Amino acid sequence: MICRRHPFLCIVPPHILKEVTQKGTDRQKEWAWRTLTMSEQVRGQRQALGTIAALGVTPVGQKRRSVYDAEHGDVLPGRLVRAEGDGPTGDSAVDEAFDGAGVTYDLYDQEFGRNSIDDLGLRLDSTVHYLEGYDNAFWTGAQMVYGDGDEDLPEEERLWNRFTSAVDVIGHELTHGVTQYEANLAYRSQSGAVNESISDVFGSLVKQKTLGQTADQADWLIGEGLFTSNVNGVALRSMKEPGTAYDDPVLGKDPQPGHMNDYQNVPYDNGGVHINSGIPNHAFYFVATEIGGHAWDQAGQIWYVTLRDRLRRNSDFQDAANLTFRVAGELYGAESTEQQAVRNGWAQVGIGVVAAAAKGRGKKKKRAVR
Amino acid sequence: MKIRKKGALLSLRGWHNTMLCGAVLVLSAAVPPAQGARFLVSDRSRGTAQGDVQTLERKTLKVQWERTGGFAGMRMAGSIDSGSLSDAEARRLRELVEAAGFFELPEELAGPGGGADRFLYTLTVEMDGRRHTVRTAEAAAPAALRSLIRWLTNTARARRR
Repeated sequence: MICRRHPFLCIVPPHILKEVTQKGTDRQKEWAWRTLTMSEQVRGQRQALGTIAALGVTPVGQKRRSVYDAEHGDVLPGRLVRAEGDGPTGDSAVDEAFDGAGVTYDLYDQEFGRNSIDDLGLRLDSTVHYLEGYDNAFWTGAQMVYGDGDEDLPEEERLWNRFTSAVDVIGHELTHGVTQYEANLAYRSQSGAVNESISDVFGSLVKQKTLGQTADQADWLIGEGLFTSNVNGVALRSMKEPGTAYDDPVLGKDPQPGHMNDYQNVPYDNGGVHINSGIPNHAFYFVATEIGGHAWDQAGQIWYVTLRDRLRRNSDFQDAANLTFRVAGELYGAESTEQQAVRNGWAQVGIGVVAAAAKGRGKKKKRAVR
Repeated sequence: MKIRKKGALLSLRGWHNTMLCGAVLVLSAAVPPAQGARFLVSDRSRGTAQGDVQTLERKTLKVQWERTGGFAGMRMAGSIDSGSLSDAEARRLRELVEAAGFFELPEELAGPGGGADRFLYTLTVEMDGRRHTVRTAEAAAPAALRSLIRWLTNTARARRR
C-alpha cells in the first residue's frame, strides 16, 4: 500500500535518502526528509535512524537550538523557554545552555565539517533546572540535561554550582551524542572510558576554542568552576594531571589514573568509565602539547576522524591507540610529527601502538553518508 | 509506655568518597544493633486504630545506599538507621520504602540503554527482619523508588557538613 503511494519508499535505502537530504536539490531534500520520516514510522526503525522523526524537514547546515525548563521537576523536556533566534532570557542556566550548545555546534561545524550531533542537522535540545539540588549533567540519548547543583542549600553549605556554568560540560554532553551516532562505544569498562574520554577531549576543545587558547595555554581541566569555594579543588578532572583535580574532606579525592599502571578495575560506575578515562585523556594531552598550536587543528582532527570512521562499539584503549596512530599517518604522513606525537602520547600512559591491524576489528567503518 | 526513642545510633554519613575513606559502609559495623528500640509511631500504614498513637516493638529500619556514575564519576555511599532519625523522619523513610514496594523489586533494574553520565544506585534495605538489595540505573527506577532515592540523597546532603 505504501509502495503504491510512495513508490520509492520501499526501494530506496535510508542511507541513499540521507545522501539526498544533504546533496539533493531543495525539492529532493524535502522529499527525502519526508520519505525518511515516514519510512521510519512505517518500519519502526527508530533506532537505525536515530531521532529523525522528530526532525521534520530541518534544513541542513543550521543550528537549531532549543532550551527547556524542567522547573525543578523530572519531566523531560519541560517547558520551551528559548528557541533559535530568540534573545537572551536573563536566566543564566538557560542562556549558558543555549550559548554552550552554540559554540559546541560551531566547533564541530567549523573545525570538523560536522553538521550537528548526527551530521544531519539534528536539533540540539537542552533542559535546565532539572530537579532540585541535582549535581549532575547527562545525555539521555536524545537531549542534554543540566542540574543546578546545590542551589537549594544555604550558600555556606553549597559544594556545586549549576552545571551549565562550565562550557566544557556542555561540549562533553553534546559529544556523547556525536559518539552515539558514530562509534557508538559501549558505556562499560574500557570502551566506556574511551567514550567518556572522547567527551572530555571535545569538551575541552570547545573551551579552548572559545578562549582561543593553544595547547600550552589551556588548563586542560574538565568542569572548572563547578565547585564552589567550599570545596578544595579546581575542577572535576584534569587531563594534564589526572588525579589532581580535587582533594576534599567531603567529596574525597580525584580518583583518576593517568597511566595504565594505575588502571582501576572497579565494579561500580559501569566499570570505572569516569575513572579510567583519565588514561586516554592524559594521552590526548601529551599528543596535543607535543604537536603544539591549537589542539583542535591536528590532535583534534586525528581524534575526530578516529571517532567518526574507525572506533567501534567495543574498541578498547589499545584499539584507540592503534587507530589514532593509523589515522595520524593517513592525515599527516607516516612518521610525520603528528604521527610520532600520537605514538609518544600513548607511550607516556603505558600503551604502545601496534602499527599493523593485527586485531581485525577497528577496521574501516563503512559510512552510510559521507 | 515508653515513648522515647533509643537513639545514639548511626548518624547518616553521606558523601564519602571511598577512594579517600576506604570502606564507608563499614560505618554501620561500629554501631550497636538497633533491634528492639522502642519508639512512638502512628501506625497509619497498617490501618489500625485510626490515627491512634501506639507504641510498637519495631525492628529498626536500615538503609545503605551507594551512588556512582554521573558526570563527576564520584562514588558516594552512606547508611541510615531509623534509630538516628526523628520519629517523623523515620516514619517518612518507612513510608517511602513501602510505597516503592522495595522488597518486591528485582535486584537489577537495568537502564533503558543509551545516554551517558546518569547516576547508578545500589540500595540495601533492612526492615522488619527482611533484607533486600536493588541496583538501579537512575533512568530505570520507577517513580516511587526515585522518591526514596531523592529523600536519601537530600538527607545526606543536609548532613554532609
